[in-house]
Amino acid sequence: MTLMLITAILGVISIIYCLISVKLLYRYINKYRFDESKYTMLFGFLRLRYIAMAYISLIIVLAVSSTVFVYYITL
Amino acid sequence: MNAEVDHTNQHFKGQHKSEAVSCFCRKHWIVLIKDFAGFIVLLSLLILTGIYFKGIYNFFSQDSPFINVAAIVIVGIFTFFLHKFFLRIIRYFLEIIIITNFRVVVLNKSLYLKDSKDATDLPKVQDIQKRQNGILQNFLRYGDLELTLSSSSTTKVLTNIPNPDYHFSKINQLKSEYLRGSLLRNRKKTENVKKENKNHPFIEPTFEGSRTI
Repeated sequence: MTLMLITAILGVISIIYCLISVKLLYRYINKYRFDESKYTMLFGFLRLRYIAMAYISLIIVLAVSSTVFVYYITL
Repeated sequence: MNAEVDHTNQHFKGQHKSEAVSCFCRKHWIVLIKDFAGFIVLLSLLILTGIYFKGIYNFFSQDSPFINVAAIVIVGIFTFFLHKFFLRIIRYFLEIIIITNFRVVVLNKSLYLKDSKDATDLPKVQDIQKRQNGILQNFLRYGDLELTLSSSSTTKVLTNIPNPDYHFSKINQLKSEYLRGSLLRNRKKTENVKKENKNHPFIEPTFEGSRTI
């Protein structure tokens, strides 16, 4: 139970850190905007918002799955 | 009547009022190869964990505190590397090289730890060299731009610039325009001063004869 709690806390901290990072990122890029239509995207298709969405979703998936995994192995 | 657009801090902190961004770029994607390779390894390990889940689950389900702690440590390592990868990608997007009508600005920024700026005035650039050596650089179209400064004979090197031909000619073009504009401004200033001095009673007699008070 303790280990599951530790994993859950780690997951929550990880998600909060991810959300703060994305918030800081958008605050900065909204303040200092560039005309991205004139810029060749990373690998031709990757925009910053795809990276931000992938970041948030992967962190949430990892936090949830690792908590569930540790819960079941400690049962 | 044309109203002058105020560009102050429009695209980056420290942008002057009449400073317009001509173009900007980020480093070539080749700088991210190492990070993407690490991410692919991480993702593969996670996928393998999913595929061989039963075996991994049986191993970690053993009644051993060491194995349980090892499971948490592994989870922690995965989380750390995932954060590290995405913060690196975000930093890639925030590191921008901006070419304006006055200077070349290199923004070196991360979300938490770094926020530095390096500006090189165009009139101070004496020489520009484009270096695109090797198969990889020529095939993937990236290279280095070396700016030699006139004031201190130091050089500033912009590494891993995509499409270096374009940026090389852009800097040259903007530098010429700046110097031409500066020359015209000086000429107008000199002419204006001469016009003012022509009618001044105390300053230099004209060919028509000096004025007397």
